[in-house]
Amino acid sequence: MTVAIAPHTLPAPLSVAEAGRTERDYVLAAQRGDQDAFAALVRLHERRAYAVARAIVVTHEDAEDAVQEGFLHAYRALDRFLPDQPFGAWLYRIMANSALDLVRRRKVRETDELTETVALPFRDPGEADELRTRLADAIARLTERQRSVIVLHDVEGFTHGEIGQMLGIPEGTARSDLHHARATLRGLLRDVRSDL
Amino acid sequence: MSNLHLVHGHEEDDVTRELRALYAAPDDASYWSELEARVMQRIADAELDWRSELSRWTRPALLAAAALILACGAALYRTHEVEQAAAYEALLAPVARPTEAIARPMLQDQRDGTARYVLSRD
Repeated sequence: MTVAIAPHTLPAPLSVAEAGRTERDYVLAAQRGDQDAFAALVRLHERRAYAVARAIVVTHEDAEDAVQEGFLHAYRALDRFLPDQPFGAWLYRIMANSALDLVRRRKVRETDELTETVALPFRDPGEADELRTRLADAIARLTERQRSVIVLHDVEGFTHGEIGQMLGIPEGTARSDLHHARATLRGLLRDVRSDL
Repeated sequence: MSNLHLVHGHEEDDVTRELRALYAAPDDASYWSELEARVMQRIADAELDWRSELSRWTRPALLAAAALILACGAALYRTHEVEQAAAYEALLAPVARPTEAIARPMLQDQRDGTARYVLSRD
C-alpha cells in the first residue's frame, strides 16, 4: 500500500524548548493548569482537528468555529481525560461532536441556504476547473454523513473504525456510507471524467 | 491513529485529487499560528467570563449570607429572651403542689395497710 501524508496535515514544527517533551508531558502539564502546555497541544493537533471539522461542516469559517469550540470543550474536559489513552483520538471525537453540533445549529437557522453553499471551496474560486465545479455540485448531493465519511476517509485517511467513533456510527455504516458516496460521485462525474 | 493513505492503495485518481484540493486546509504557517492564538484567546475569554460571572454573583451572595446570619442571630436572641422571661415569671409565680406530692400519702397509706395485713396473717 502506498503511504503518503498530505502536507497540510503535518503537525507544526516544535520549538527547541518543546522538542524534548512528549505529547503525554503536555497533557499532564495542561491537566495541572499549564496554559502553555495546552497551547502546545493545540499547535500539535490544530491541522488535523481542522480537517476533521472541515469534513463535517459546510464552510471553512464554520470549520474554524468548530475547531475553536472543540478546543474549548477539550480544555474544559481535560481533567476527565486519562493520559494513557491516545490524546488525538479523544480530541478528534470532541472536534467531530463540536462540528456536528454546529451543523445542527445551522440547520435549524438556515435550512434553505444550506444546499446552495454546500462544500464550496473557501478560497481560490478562480482556479476551479470543470471537474472541481462539478465535484462541488456532486458533493452537495450527498447526504451530510456520506460527505463527512468520504472526506474523512479519502482526503484525511482515517480508518472506518476511527470515522465510526468520531461520528458515533458503527464501523459497517461508515463503510457502507463510503461505498454509496463514491458510487454517487462517480456516477455524477462520469461524463466529466471521460472528457478529461 | 492511522497514517494517511491513498484510496484503496491505488494511485490517486482525478476525483480524489480534486476532493483533496477542494478540502485542502490553508498551508500558510502564519494562518495556523493565528488560529492557535485565537483558540487560546477564546479559552482565556471563556475563563474570564466564568470568573466575572462568579464575581458578579459573589457580592450579592455574600450580602444575602450576611443578612441570613443576622436574621438567624436575631431570632436566636429573641428566643433566648422569651425563655429567660418565662423562667423569671415562673420563678415569681406561686408554686402549685405537684401531683406526685398529693398522690404519695395515699399510696403510702395503701402500702402500709397491705403490710399490716400481711404481718397480721402470721
